[in-house]
Amino acid sequence: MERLLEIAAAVSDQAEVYFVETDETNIEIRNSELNEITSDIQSGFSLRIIKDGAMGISYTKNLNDRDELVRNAVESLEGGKRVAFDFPGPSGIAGFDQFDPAISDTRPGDLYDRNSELVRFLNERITGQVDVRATTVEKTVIIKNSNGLDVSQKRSTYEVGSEMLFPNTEAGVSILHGSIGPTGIPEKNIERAISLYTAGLPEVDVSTGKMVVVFLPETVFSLIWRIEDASSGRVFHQKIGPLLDREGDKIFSDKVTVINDPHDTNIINARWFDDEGMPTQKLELIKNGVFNGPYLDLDFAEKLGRTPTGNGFRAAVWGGDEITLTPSPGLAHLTILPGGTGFDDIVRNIDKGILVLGVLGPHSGNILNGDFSMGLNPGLYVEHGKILGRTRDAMISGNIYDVMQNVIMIENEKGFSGSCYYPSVAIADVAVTGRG
Amino acid sequence: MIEKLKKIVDGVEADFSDIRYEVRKDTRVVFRGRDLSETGANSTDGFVVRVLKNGGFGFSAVTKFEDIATAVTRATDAAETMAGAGASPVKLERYPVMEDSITPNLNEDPLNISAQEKVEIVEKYNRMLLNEPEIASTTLVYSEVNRDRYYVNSEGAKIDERLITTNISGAVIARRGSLTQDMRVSVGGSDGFSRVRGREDVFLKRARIARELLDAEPVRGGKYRVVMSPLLAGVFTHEAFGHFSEADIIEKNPSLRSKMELGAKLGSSAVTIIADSTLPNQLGFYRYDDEGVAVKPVTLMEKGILTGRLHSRRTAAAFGEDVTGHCIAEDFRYAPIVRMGTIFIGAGTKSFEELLKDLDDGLYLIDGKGGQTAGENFTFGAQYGYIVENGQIGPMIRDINIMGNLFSTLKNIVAVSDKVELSERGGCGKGQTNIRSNLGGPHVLVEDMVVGGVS
Repeated sequence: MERLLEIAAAVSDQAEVYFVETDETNIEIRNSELNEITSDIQSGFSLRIIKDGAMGISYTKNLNDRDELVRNAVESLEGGKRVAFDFPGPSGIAGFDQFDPAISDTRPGDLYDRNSELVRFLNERITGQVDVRATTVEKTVIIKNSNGLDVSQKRSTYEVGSEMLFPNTEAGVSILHGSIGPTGIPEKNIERAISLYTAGLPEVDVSTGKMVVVFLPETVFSLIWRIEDASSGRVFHQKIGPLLDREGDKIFSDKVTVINDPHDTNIINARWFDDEGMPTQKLELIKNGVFNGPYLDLDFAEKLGRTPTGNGFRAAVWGGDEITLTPSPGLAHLTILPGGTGFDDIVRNIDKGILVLGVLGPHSGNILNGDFSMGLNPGLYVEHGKILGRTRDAMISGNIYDVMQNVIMIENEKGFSGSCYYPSVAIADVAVTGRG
Repeated sequence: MIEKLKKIVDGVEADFSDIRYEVRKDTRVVFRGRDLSETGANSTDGFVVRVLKNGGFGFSAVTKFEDIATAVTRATDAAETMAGAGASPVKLERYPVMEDSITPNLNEDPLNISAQEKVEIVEKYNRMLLNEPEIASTTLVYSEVNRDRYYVNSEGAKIDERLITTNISGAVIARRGSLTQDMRVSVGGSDGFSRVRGREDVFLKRARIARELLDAEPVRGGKYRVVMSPLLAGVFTHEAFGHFSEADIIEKNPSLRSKMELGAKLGSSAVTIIADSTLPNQLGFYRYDDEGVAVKPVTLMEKGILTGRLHSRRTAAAFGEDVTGHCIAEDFRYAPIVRMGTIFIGAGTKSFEELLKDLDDGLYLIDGKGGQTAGENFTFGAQYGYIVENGQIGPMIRDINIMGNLFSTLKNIVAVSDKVELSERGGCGKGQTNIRSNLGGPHVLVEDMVVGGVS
């Protein structure tokens, strides 16, 4: 890595090497039977160089030929992206790993044993099909640059996604769990999912109209995705989107505070530096409904004449291979500040409404504009504080800048969404289209 | 390379093993608004090992040659764990041992086009879009993916095939005040660089529609009779029906498997659905899948009756059906899974105008904008549409998402038009991204479709 940096620095004004190695094991249990085991080791190097105000990039999985990698980066300088920022210097911050060594000892057989117990337990409680996917990941990231930066972090994750399918369908209720080591799923989370599953067994038709809609932790992302898109430094630089001239404005109900906190070590993938080596920081994106401004990587911070916020990440909407991606503004540690209402009380307080446990098509509306129109999969219909069953062919639609004015309750604790941690959010007067 | 791989496979103690080595070359040119934000060409490579032992089937992917021994150990461990856990024993359907080397038939090999020319062509389309009135921004990406695949297995198969996919795609964004509307655009394919030349008309049309959407009304939610455009019908065919034709999806779901019995009458007699990756010059074209099986055309549904499904060697044996050559991986990071290539509803006899007349009052919905399924339920976005009254196309509508159930929708298809159109861009995400998923169909008239809306 050092040699690569030396060669690259010799032909450029500034150079940066990003290295990542992951060791990942997956098991899949379908219909209570072990269906698949995969176990992969992937690594790679990504190089960025800056010369005469242009950026060159290249990457490889196998560092067989350092000169070729540097040559590819130099070739991409020609007619390449213009930049005016500098790579950061030495960090000077005490970092932290987010790693549990127990992950390294978790073999596929252990993963299966641990989760077949969950399957057995669920099969005793419900009649539908049970599927489980469990994953362990060990990851090491190192970034070095010619300005003296040398940062690294070791991370581990253990994730379980279990789904209980309603009989004769593939719609179901999920139990999502994430931790840095192989921990058990809290019993109350399993019991809540079983209770929702049982209540959702009857299928009901919902009439078209406006009603209370409660987004559970696993579906809050469908709302947050829209604010994430509109508040990116990239969008501000492109001078588009509904938040362009709204800094300091109240855009949501004052009940809503949206935070991105990479330093919260209670969550998976806590980070002390971003994928450009910049220190990460806690951002209050929206505080009591007021929008505080965009989040930025090095490039867009410079282009907008602002201070970088440590949000340069090698990520795309659908994942992707990080060494092949270049850093761009991203948020990976979002949450909504919990409110004061317990989940059972939220349900009890609904006269007519829907609990959204799963959404279909969250990516298909005009996301930048804040629009959404999503299928419920499943949605549970509530009348007079009681769940009557799961909805058939029902949709919810709206625009987050309208509906988030009408937040009436926020749950008092957070649940894992599959990547972030959110409380349930109850919103009044959301448009529902159904067959009733 | 083939002989090197053969030596590794020969050293594996198992009932069956195979190894795939791939070199993937990516070239990208990205414009965001007026800024060129990325250019470059890079190469990555890696190995995927599969081991079948005592009825267990394990996989491992590694990037370093020196890690192949670890990959073999891990795949063998995984196979033994599966066998020990009492999983249903895996068998592979028998298939002739093939030795072949395939190079694509290209109209201009993209690898022979200079980096500068690739930047210039994207810049030209991008500039043209930004010069249109009310177009505030763009994202245009030239993406070229070249996969050199080398496959060997313990039965003696030795196959290499090159696949190259070229595409210019992105979005054009119109803005008026705080209202923005975006429209997706895409040109490209698997038959050479000439696909992306001279396509100004496509880009200009998308800019015009984005601008017109600024004046369109959001659709009113409710139940409608709908005509789907060929590409929206293709999204339905691929997402809602096609994935259930992939044997690995339904294999471990008894309720779906019973509904998808061959011979079952699932659709109206207007519906014939074909998967055919042998169609030349189409995005979904290939000769061999990623376990060395030659792909063949499959009629999945004929006049509403289920007649076929897509298989890997493993699922073909599990279902007692023929192999079809549909076991595909995104690249060297993944073991292959059952995937669609080219899939479409077959043409009918009515013209588009006759279909609109049959629709009478309803909606004409055009082009897919993201779709998702969960079991038999689906939700798809349409990029734009029109209200149709008395068979006449009326005002434009936006913010359209449809939802339905696969089996009731197949029965609600009343008629299809006489011309089939296929997409130029893929991107199916069944755990891995298949950039060669190719879909389409004729115009399709459907009854009783739920359309979401705020009013």
